[in-house]
Amino acid sequence: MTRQAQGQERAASLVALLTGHAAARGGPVTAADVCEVCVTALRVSGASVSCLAGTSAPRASGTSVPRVSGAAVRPVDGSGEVAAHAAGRLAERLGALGLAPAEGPCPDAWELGCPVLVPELGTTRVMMRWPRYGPAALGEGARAVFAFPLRSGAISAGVLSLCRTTPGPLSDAQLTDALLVADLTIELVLCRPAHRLPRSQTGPLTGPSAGTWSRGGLGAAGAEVHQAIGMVCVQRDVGPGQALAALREHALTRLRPLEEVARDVVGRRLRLAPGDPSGDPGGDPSGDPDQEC
Amino acid sequence: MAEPSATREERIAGAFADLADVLADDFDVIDYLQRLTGHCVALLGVAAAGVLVDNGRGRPQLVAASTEQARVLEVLQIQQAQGPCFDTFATGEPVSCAELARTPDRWPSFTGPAAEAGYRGAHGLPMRLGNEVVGALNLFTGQARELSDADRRLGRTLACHAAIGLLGHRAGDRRELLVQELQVASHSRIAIEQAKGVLAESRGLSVEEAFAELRDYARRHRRKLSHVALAVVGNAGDVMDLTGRAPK
Repeated sequence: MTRQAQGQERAASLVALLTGHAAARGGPVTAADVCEVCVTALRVSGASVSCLAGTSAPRASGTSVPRVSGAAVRPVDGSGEVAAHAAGRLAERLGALGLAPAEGPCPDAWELGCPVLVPELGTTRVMMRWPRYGPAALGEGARAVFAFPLRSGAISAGVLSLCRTTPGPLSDAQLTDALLVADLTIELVLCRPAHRLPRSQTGPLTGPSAGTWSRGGLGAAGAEVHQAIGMVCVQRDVGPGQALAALREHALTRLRPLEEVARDVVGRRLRLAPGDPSGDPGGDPSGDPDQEC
Repeated sequence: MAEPSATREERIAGAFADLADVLADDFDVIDYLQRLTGHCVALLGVAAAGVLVDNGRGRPQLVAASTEQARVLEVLQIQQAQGPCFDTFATGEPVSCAELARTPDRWPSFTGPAAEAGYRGAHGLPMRLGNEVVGALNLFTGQARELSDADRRLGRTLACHAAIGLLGHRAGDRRELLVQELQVASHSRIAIEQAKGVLAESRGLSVEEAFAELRDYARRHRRKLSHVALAVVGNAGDVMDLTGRAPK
């Protein structure tokens, strides 16, 4: 099998795991589902998703440590409030650590905009890199931490963090899965359409038709999807995260693949400006629908 | 760039000195790979060059191309999962096709568009780090011709340089650095596409014109293309003259 086919197959099976997990709870995919799927599918000891709306780093949000226990995760570009969810007690404690001393793999992944992989926490290098976080994380029983920014180009929404009680690197397959889960978290959790869709229209979320993940996820989406995000930013005067949410909503409500909708936007056959007759059938895009995660 | 009258050796030395400068300076992977495609065109006498990398999600991604036509052709190969460059990426082996028109059935969805863009031959060179294939350097020729042995060797060296460039100039764990640089390249390219969309819409340009504006602005202001792209999508005040939008 080619690497491409493997990537698409993994993306599809991770989507099935996430949506299956969510369906068992009877709701849309949430950060909690992401964390729990990571723990089972990637065989890690714990996982956490920290999100921040706006543009500053999670640690810049103030001194208070967010509640890490299934708290609400707001979609990108929303209120500016930090929220997080963690699966497993270790991930919960580590999540708090990363935000309190304002150092560690999570803040670094956010700031660098790329993954930070720490297969062995108990090294001199780690202790020098994070003199407060390093000893504290070891003290909590963690031996390896891997942090992935929830990022797609200029969309920057938070960090997915995985931890293990045993040292050692992620395998190539686990690394691919982690990158794909991070992409899917942006798409399914953080850039969820602002409006609650009728149940009949949530169907495509479990089929291959409506998401970019049908081709292997946001990181493998065609250039038109990213160009369309930029165009919708201007049409709606919103940030790129909300632009992606608007594109997804249009695709989902019309049961059309996201890449096809994006091609129409780039080809200037479709505008998603609020109130535009070819775009959304109305509604307030800044409404506050059900956003619990 | 070396003088046009410079010898081949002088031009090669000049190109590698230039690439070393980018590595030593405040390194930016997109600037580096974009510059490398320019050197490929100048040194190897090809019409265009492009770079695909493995973004860790099982599908190659275009991160740099010397021309818009080359970018479109690379993206087409990725979408159709066929073509000389795609094959190089998938197999990790060099693929050389001196005259695409001779084998129209080999890559049916690629050959026609390549000819329309004015390219008659295509060559793919793997970017390797040890046993790992991290991407492919692709060359398009305007004439139907084989690469000379000297050009082939130089092409391989440039592909090798492109792979090493992905590790940047930093010290640290090799695997972590490679993963980081590949992800930075991937997200920088995505941000550039998003910024093309912003400019196309705000200024009423085609996406190709939007890219030219973005690139020229970065050159004029001596800023990194990927930084300008992020500022454009983020609607930062310092790129207002480029976007024509009121900043947030």
